[in-house]
Amino acid sequence: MDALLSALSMLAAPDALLAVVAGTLVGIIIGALPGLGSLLAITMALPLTFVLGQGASVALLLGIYCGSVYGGSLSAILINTPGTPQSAATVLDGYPMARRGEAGLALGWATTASAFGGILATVILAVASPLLARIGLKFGPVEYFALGVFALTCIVTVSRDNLAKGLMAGLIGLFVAVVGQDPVTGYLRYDFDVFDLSAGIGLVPFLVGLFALSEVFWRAAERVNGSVPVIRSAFRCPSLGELRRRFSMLLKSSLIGTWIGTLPGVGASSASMISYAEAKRSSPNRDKFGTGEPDGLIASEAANNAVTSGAMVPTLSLGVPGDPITAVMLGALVLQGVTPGPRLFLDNQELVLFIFLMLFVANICMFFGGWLMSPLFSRILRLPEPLLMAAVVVLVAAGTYSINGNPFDLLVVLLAGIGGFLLRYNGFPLAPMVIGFVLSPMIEQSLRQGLLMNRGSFLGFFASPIASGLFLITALFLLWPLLSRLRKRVFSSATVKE
Amino acid sequence: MKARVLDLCYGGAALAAAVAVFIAGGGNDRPVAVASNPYWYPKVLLVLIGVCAIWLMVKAVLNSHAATPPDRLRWRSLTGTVVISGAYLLGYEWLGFVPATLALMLVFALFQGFRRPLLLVVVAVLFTVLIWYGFTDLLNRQPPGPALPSLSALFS
Repeated sequence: MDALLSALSMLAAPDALLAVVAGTLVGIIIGALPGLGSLLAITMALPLTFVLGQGASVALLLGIYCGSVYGGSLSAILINTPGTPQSAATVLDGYPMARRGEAGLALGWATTASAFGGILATVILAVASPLLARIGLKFGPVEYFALGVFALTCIVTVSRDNLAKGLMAGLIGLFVAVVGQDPVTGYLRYDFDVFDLSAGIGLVPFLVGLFALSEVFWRAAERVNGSVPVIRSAFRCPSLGELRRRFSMLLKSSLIGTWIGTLPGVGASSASMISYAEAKRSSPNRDKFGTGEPDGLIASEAANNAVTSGAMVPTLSLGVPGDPITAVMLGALVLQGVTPGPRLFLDNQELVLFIFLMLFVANICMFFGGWLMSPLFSRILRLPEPLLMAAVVVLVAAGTYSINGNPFDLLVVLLAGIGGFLLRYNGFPLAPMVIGFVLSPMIEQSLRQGLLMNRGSFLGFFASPIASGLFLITALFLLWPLLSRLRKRVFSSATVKE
Repeated sequence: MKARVLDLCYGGAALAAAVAVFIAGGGNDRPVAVASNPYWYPKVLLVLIGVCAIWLMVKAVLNSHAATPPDRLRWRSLTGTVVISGAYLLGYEWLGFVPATLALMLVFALFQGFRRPLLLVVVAVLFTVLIWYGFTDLLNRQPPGPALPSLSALFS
């Protein structure tokens, strides 16, 4: 009860409320700008978290996260271009609705479904949290190491297209994080007598360069495909009758999104596609999918926004980021002195409750933000790209410099930006690098503490049932594609024999 | 450039970097015990990076499914953008926020082919002023270089 009161008092703080409103509105705008996306929005806001308090920082990031995922639907509906990858499935029915003259209703459905999905997922998350908190009591260095190793397996999930490149990116991320002071002995490593390297490489300059600046470079290098006409719109909420008729679709898509959000490494893009595919299979209007059917729009938008809350489960309770966006969120929480993991639900219960409440508020803000700002969107979407990209470079520099006032951080931003571009050019996924960078300190510290506790023996790591279970799950997760292929081969040879 | 050649180049570069850092990074005089050796964990990572680099190169040689990189990139535009952004980032402290940002906005947009000078100047000035006051008056962080008059001084 005390924790709830404390969380409510954090929620009532004017700076936190202002941050969530501003974050949601900015998130909607950035999400609506094609190509910028949630990740860029959050990385751009990261430096601001240094000057805001813990509550306001968390509120700002959650607002941006929810707003940007929803914002992607606006350009998907109005200009046939998903603002974020999470809204890829929204295009399929949103734009045909807009072309048919129902842009306002399409925006209304997207907003309602997004808010419903986000709120339902938050409620589910809040109810399930005490269970997660009980598990937290049993975690020590050995268990944390096993958890870190398990978390690294999501690199495999996000690197399906090219495992070698994904693993290499992850390992580079793990290595870059060790530069500077050793967490156990305090010894300086890999600083090459450069004073600025002795403090290590900052998470913010590294992430901002890797994602935001490399995106600027990428967009400068990409061929422009001409402008797309913007459809003018007026927001229209679906009627109660329409809502009742499509409630089961809203509920099912939100549950799919929540469930997928809790699985590390799957993400909102996959969730919206899976939900869309399921809606297409089960909807009574399945024949109309692709021609402007609201069920298709609902399936995509309810699921991708439910993921925003669902993804907080592994991020907060296990310290396992589900995707690059939650990896950056994880980094932001670490920067705020919060250590996500099983003990968070015990040691910092008021913060966890505050996050649930803030997710709830962010989804309500998102609904009203979408409603009030819809006339603005068509104007913003027509902003000239050169001005927009120049503004991103300025925000990156001003934000990063404001943290320490150290020009070395700007050099890190530039190098990370160039590196990020080169990696993207050859198909290296950037997400594993972030995951590695964020998890590296925890893995190294818990490994070495665990070894000290077990007098240098690795066998001691298997004495803990939780750690053994996590190692087993990790092994199964990694071997699953192989086992699955083997099972198929055995099954097909048995069928041939018959 | 073909994806295979690129993979070979990237793999070779990563392998060379891992070997160089392994040798030049030091730590050979540290204790052998894993738990108290600050170099043990990073060196394991370097070895694994080397293994992945070799794996990438072997895959490239055997021509297993190498993804084709986009070949129709605007290299001139990219190079210019990197140079302009790099100059801004590296000269940010030395030039100061206001002059550097005004110069960046103008040069960046003109280089990218934006040809509406009046709008450009208005947006550049407004954006620079907005960001300045956002950082100084709202966030209490002063960007480097010559300062604009504070809002409180303007309205007092």
